[in-house]
Amino acid sequence: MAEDALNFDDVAEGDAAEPRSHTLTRTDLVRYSGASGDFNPMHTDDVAAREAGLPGVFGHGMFTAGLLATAVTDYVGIGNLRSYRVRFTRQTWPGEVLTTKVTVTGKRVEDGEKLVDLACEVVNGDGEVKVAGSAVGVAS
Amino acid sequence: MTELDLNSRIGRPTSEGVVTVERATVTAFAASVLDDSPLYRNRDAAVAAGFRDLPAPPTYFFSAAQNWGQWEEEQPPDPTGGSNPMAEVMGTLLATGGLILHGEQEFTFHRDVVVGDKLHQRGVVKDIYTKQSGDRTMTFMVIETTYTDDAGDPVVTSTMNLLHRS
Repeated sequence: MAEDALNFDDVAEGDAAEPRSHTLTRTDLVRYSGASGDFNPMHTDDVAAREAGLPGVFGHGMFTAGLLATAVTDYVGIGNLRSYRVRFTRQTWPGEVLTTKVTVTGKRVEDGEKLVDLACEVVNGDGEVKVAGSAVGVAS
Repeated sequence: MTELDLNSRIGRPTSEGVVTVERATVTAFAASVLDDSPLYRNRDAAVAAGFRDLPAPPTYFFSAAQNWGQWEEEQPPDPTGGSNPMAEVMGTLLATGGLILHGEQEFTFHRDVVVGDKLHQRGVVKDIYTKQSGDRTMTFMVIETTYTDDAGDPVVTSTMNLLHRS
């Protein structure tokens, strides 16, 4: 069961979801730590991060992947995601503007299910890719 | 550093547990990934959309489902025997310096999961390998966590690729 899905006949390769932009804050990282239970100090404790040789805390990869998943399910509808995979290419830093990109790369029917293939990524203001991956959604 | 025997860790379990998907954690998690959908907050809205209860967000199954909702009295014995192969490898490497990073993450959703569902989770080391990058050694660990229902059918499969960069 799910939210309304994409209409298979209306979807075309190259279609894009509405991008989402968000300026990463330390509060985002603290909130994500609490909600996920991942309290790695590299994401929450500036002092510990600097002692480890970093400029300061950096974002959980899974915060960025979660933000991207939000953009994906906004597009395909909650409950219509069949798979989602991401590669973490660069660390994210507080103050960076993170923007999601979700694009249709194809569509197919498999075992009677109408599937839509998506490429998805998150980039910063300079176009540097932070997370890149793909997703498969089911359409109606 | 003592040479780590990586191959002996492949196939070993990393975790096992019974996960109850709880409402407050689902709503808090949705907020943390900036998803403001009413389906994660309002049961009536979720039911109207055809769900049995509030659905769990897709990336809930990486960390949240491993840290929250594993009620102590319901947990099976620790399958690692008290020594987690992930901690053995990554802990030993980190003690020599460097950084542990999340390289890749993949989820397969076999069916929806909603608040109130009780799932069995089991993690296993699928692979460990190393790569050279300049003068740095990268050590990768692939951990697959499978969530199943009471019938033993897979519900969600989560595969993590974690790396240590020297």
